[in-house]
Amino acid sequence: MKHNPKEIRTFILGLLDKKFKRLGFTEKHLLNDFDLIQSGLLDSMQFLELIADIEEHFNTEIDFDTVETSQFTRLSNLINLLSETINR
Amino acid sequence: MKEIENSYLSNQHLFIRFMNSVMKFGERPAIAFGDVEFSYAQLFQMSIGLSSEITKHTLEEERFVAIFDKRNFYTYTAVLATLLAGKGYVPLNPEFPIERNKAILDITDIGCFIVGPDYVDEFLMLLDEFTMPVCVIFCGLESTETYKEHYPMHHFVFFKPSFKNQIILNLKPHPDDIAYLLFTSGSTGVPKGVPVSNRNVVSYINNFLSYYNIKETDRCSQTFDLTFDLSVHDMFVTWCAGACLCVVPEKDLLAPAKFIREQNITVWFSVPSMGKIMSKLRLLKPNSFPSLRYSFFCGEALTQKMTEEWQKAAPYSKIVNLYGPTETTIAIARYEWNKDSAAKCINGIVPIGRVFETQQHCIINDSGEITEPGETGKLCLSGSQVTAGYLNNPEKTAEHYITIAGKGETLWYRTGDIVKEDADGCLHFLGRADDQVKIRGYRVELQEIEAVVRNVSKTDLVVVIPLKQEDGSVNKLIAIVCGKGDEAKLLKECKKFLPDYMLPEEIRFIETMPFTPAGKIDRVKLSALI
Repeated sequence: MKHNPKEIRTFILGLLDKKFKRLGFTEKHLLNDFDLIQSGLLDSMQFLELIADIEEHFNTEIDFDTVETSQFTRLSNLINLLSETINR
Repeated sequence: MKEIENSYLSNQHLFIRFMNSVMKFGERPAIAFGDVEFSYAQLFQMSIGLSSEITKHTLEEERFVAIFDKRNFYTYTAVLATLLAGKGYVPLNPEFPIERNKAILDITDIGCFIVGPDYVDEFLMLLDEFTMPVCVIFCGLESTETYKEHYPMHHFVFFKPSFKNQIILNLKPHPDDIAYLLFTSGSTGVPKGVPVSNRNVVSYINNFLSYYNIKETDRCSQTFDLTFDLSVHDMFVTWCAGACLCVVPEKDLLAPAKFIREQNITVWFSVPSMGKIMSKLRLLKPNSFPSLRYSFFCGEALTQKMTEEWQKAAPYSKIVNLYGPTETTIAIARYEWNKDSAAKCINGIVPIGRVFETQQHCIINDSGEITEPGETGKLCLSGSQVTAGYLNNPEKTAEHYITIAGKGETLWYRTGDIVKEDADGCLHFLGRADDQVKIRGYRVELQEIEAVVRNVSKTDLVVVIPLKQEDGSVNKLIAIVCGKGDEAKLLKECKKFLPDYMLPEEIRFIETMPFTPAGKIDRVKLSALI
């Protein structure tokens, strides 16, 4: 099944919604270079939980071996990586 | 120079040990940032330059210099320069909340700060809080009068890097000089300062290098933040052995699998959490890390599952679990993983092994008496690695540094770790005697967080409950406040005082707090509510 990046973004933001509100982040913070870990939104373990949820939802496995860490902790990069993996 | 080199006393000083390596391995790489390497001679010359600035701008009786920087070339230069100036360094994490760094400075009385180029704005925010004049040494920054105009009370120095030969200062190293001062979570809400002497650290390094043959051809990882004493291992084990310290860039710290391969790392050292993350991201594939000779883990419980996976990923590596609180200098016990180790694990946790031969341990029961062999109890440690006590805190020192009946006048550090020694003399970590938890290797006293939440919520009844994962490690903290309030607002306030790893995941409000018949808050009942 195909999923466009917008759909993936909506799903991720949905998962993080509660967390955003709790820490006072709004839509205007979530620019393309928003880093899920460096922004203080998630710690490394919470990031892993997010990845697990995403992989389960889209029934896919991301290959992290080929990309650098900073590439997948950024929201836009994560979405791109996902859409490549899912729609391969 | 010859005189210093031959003196027994000075061999107990970290800078002299570094200098010995400079003489032996001068042109070899001492530190690498990706493809950019600096030799022992270069690092040495840089640190002399910075050291003379420190000496020029501090009084002899000033014991500490603060380093406000993170993992760049100046940070490491600043560590060496401070030691050379005969002072102890106090690392401040620029990413920690201002209030947290301020709390540290309130206890310490520091008059000199070394600030790296990446964190000038953060430092100036901290500087706004100072009421006494200080000297600020900016590294790698263009000289300007602006700061002087804005902060007329303080003195500013702009240090420019230079690899030219410089005159060596009149160095009078003493092993009892404090090498560094680190802060651990304190149960009263105020962090506790642990001063560690050069003698303590050199003792550790001698012990460690007597067990593990680190060579000048090794490439050792640097993953730990400077506020963590395991970074002292990274720097000085590497430099005493003449090897190269390979700094893992911040962006790769989450899962540095690619870094290990591309940089040909031969000696790895991190918290087990980092291995666990790599495992979850499926980065620990068989033979992923053929270059590794040694893998050391420390800072929190090491699980059997991760160790077995790591061994497959690094088939030529010896895996060692190191154990030790900051108060006993870096690590004081070790366990080497081998083919029979699985049977040794209790609850899926790798043993902490044996205390280094030159140091002593004993296990005491609740009445403070030494336990019978095989009995569970609290681990106490003594020896040349054990520090003398907390900075300006005789009360906490007396509580944790104790004498034991039947052991004479010897001072023992009471770790608070509950352990059991098996028939082979191998120690097993079973848990904590108090409310201390480890979060990704960071030591956290739940009471310290409770104190902050109490303050910001203006409520007395506050409890912080750690949520544990299957393997027993803590991954979340939930604060429970009796009463009503605005969660987002309170969390924002807490963020001003607590570093990220101590920040509760959420704050819940309850109408009435459950109490035990003895009148204490019933934590068990609360945990069940979550």
